[in-house]
Amino acid sequence: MNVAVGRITAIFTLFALSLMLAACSEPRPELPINTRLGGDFSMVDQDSKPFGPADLQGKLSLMFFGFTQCPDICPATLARTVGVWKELTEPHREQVQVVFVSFDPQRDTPAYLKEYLAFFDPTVIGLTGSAEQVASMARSYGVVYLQEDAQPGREQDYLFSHSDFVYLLDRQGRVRKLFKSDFDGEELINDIRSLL
Amino acid sequence: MTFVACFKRALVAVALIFAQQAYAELVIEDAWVRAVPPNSRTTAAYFTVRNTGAEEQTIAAVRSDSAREAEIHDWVETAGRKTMVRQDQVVVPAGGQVVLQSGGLHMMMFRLDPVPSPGDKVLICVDTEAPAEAPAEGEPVAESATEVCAEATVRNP
Repeated sequence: MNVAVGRITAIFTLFALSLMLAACSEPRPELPINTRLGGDFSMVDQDSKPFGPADLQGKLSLMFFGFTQCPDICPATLARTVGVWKELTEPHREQVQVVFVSFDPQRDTPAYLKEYLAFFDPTVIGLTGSAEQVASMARSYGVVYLQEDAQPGREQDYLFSHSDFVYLLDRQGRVRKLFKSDFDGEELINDIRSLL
Repeated sequence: MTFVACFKRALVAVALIFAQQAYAELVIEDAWVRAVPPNSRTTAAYFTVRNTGAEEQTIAAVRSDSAREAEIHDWVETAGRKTMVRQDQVVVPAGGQVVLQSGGLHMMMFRLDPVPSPGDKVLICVDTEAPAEAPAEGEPVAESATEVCAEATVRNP
C-alpha cells in the first residue's frame, strides 16, 4: 500500500515539475507597441538644453509626469521608479533612463528640477517647458492634469490633480506599457528585461 | 496679580488639565516623514492615530515644527485623475484607529522650514480643536493645550 502511495506521489511530482518546466521555457509574449500614445514634443531638460523625441532614442525610458511640490504620490513614484532602475545590473542600468516630466513649469524651472532630481539620482532627466509645450506633450501621452485652486493667501501652495502612470518606452521611444503608480516592481523589471 | 485674575488663571489651568486628559485618549504611533530633496517646499507625514477612549474623537487640526502649514488630505480618483482633497475633520472611532499612509489619507506639510534631512526627528501634532485663527504670515502655528504630539523620523520609504 505504502509503495503504491509512494509511486503515485512520485508520478504527480514529476507531472507538476514537467508543467513548471514547460511554463519556464514558454517565451514571454512581446509587449505590444502603443501607437495611440507618444509622438513629437519639444521640451527643455534640467540643463536648459532642448529635448525632443530623438533624445529618447537608443535607451529604454521610464517616464513619469508630475510636479515637485506634490508631497505624496509624485516623490513616492519617483523613488520607486529609481529604486527599480537601481535594482538592474550596471550594464542594464546604462541602457535605461528615468525621465521626470513636470507639468508645473511655473515652479519647476530647469535649475530647480536639477537640484530636486539629484536627490533621487543625478542621472534622472527632468523635462519642463512653456505651459503650451508641457500641455502638448501631456496630450500626446494621454496625461491629464489640472491646477487646483489654492486657498486665499496661499496662492503659492497650489496643487494639481493628475493621472499617475509610469510609461515604459522602448529604444525607439515608443510606448510599450503603462504602469499605475503603485506598480509591482518585479513586473516592471521583467518588462524592462524583455525589451533589453 | 489681582485675586480675580489669579482665580481666572486657575480656572483655565483646571480646564486645560481636563481637556488634555480627554484628548490624551488619542495616541500617535509609527510616525514617519517622507525624506524629500533639500529644495522641496512640501512633504507628507504618515502615522496611525489610535483612540484608546470609549468616545469617538475628531481631529480638527494638525501641525508640525518643520512646516508653516499642515493639513490632512485624502486622494480621490475621478475619471483617471487623482485629486488631493483637504479633510477638515477626521473621525477616530472609539477604540479604533485611523491610518495615514502613502496613497491614502496623509498629513501634508507645506512650506517646510527647515527642510528636514533623512534621520531627523520632526514633531507632528494632531488636535481635536481647530485654531481660532490662522497665525500671522511668517509666524509659527502656536502650541495647543488639546493637541497630542509625537516625534516622526524622516526617512526614505
